[in-house]
Amino acid sequence: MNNVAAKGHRAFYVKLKMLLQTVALPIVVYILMEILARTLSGKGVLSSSADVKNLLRTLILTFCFALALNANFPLGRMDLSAGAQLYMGCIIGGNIAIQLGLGGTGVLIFSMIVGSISGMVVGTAFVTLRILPMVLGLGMTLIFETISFSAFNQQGLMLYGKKGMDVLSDTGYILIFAAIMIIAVTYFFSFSTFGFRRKAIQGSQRLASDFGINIYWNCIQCYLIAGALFAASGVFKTAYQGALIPVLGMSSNGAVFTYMFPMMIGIWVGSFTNSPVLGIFIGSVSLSIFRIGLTKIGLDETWQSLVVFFLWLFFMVYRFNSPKIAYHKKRKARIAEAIIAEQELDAALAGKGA
Amino acid sequence: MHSNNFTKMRSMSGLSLSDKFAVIKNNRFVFTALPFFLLLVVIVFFGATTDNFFGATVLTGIFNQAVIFATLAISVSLIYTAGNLDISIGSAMALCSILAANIYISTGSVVLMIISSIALGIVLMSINSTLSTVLNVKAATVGIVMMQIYSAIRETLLGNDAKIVVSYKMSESLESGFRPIAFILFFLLVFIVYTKTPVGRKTRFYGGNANAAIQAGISKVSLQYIGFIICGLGVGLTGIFSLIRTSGVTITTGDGMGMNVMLATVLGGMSIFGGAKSNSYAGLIGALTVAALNKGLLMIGVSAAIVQGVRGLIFLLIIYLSSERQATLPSRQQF
Repeated sequence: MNNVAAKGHRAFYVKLKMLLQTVALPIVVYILMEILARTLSGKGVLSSSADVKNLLRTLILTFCFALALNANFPLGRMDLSAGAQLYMGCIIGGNIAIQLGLGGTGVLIFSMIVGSISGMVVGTAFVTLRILPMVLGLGMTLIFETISFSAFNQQGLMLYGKKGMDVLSDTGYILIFAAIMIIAVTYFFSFSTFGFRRKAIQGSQRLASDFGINIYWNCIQCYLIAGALFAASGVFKTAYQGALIPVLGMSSNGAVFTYMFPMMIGIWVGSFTNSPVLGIFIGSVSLSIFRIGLTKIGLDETWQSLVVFFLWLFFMVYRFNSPKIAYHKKRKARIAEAIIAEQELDAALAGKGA
Repeated sequence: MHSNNFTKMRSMSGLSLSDKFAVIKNNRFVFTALPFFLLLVVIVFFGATTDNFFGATVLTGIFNQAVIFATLAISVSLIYTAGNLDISIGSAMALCSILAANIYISTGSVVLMIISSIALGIVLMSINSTLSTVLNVKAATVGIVMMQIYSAIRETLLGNDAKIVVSYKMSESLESGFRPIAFILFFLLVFIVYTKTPVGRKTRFYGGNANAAIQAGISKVSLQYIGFIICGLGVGLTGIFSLIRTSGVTITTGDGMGMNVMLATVLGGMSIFGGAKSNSYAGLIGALTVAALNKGLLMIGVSAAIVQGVRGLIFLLIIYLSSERQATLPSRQQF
């Protein structure tokens, strides 16, 4: 009986430790940036309601984009057309919603629908043509940029000054949307049949296929979900900036590289609790706090980018070398144990001899 | 091997239409010839449909447009052949241009300008290679992170002015003499390294099967360093080409270049994942095709946006025709 209780306690402590490991990152980042900001500029990181609002706005667009990248990334599919899907969703879906006189929620829903259709087109092209995902992404970027650039008289999407768009910048609205996304995407990726199949494909595509899983349909579903999330990120970005100006020349895929860092941090943090969605949320929160902290310190955007990208580089160096570091740590511990054992043996032998 | 391919093509009478298509598509001669055929089709089509496609001005325009992408694409050929990717070359090129422009403005020496650009290109690419080989970060990841870092440095260096301008006279003098000669010499250097030296052979072998190559005693580190140093040479040279083309450097110099180079390389018939099917001239063919297509479509009155869309469609079609269709979905863990 006692044994069962002890096991239960141990499991609880392990879970608690995992949870603390997961939530520790934003807390550590916040404390660090708060100290730095107060020391260097005399202001706190979140000293006004505007700061909180900015944090949430940055957070939601980072979270949605990083979450969308994660739909395909762990399966060996790096989608370089992500930025172009964002433009497609926002410009076409957003403008349709505005013309129909729908408010901010309408823009968000319509953009997500067109975004998911764009994602589905990429997914269908992928399973039909079987071209490498990165290469397909380049081609689809060229096509989608042409469509989004030419649509609606090359005006892009203008949300600034439009009626009913304030809701997209509302703190409560953003929080509710983030909560819905966490619950919905966690369900899709971790608890639904689609999610189980996706995990099986992630393990081995060949085995999953032999087991009867339709790997092609699952792939299209992944692209579809990703497309909707890219568009959602785009809508919040447009609401933040006021307008989304259409681009050509593959400029849209810059976003893929920008949001890859929060996704990678998220996957790492999520590995503590086996929940990549929560991890990506935590990663996005941490990076958003870090960015706001750097602004408070007084660094301009280019210096902020330099700091963030150097941090990314150090993170990647750590991640790629962590097995080696762990191996050396274990080796050191083993050697230390052996030395202690040897000393104890020597002491015991010396005691016997005496 | 050659006769085997021909035998296969001759004995297709009993096959279905899709199987016949697959046999033709997967034939190695079709794979090799397709990019050349596409370039020929583009040239013949626009030669026939436009008034002055073969005029000196148009051809010079195509060369001017292609030379920057082609030099960069040729320079990354060894990196791609080894199965690596690096999309930071555009941002690195911009840094080379900035240094070269500043050196020229402060010293007035063209020789110093060229040497400094090439030296910086080699240093930057060596940093990328070191991160990949010594610190074990995958080359593709290094490329993505360093692209962002180099872009941020470019913006910091250019500051509020957002551009550096150099003498137009100097640019013009280098355009006609130095540029074509430097381009041809660089192409020949890469071609010789690729086809006539053990480095090229070993890199192809390594790109095709890294484990087998390592088991055979091939050093990954030295191959990678050689590939990146040659790439650095090309990046430095392209920095000069870019500087003299626009007589300056702006905040957008090098933007999207890594992606465009990847596009040109793949369009030229090379796999971005390397191996035996790789070559050193794919980038040149791809860059010429893209430049000719852009120029031709603009000459017949197609808007820049539509030109891009057409380029995307042709790109996907060519890739589909020139790549082997897998039974399962193609994937590759990049990180």
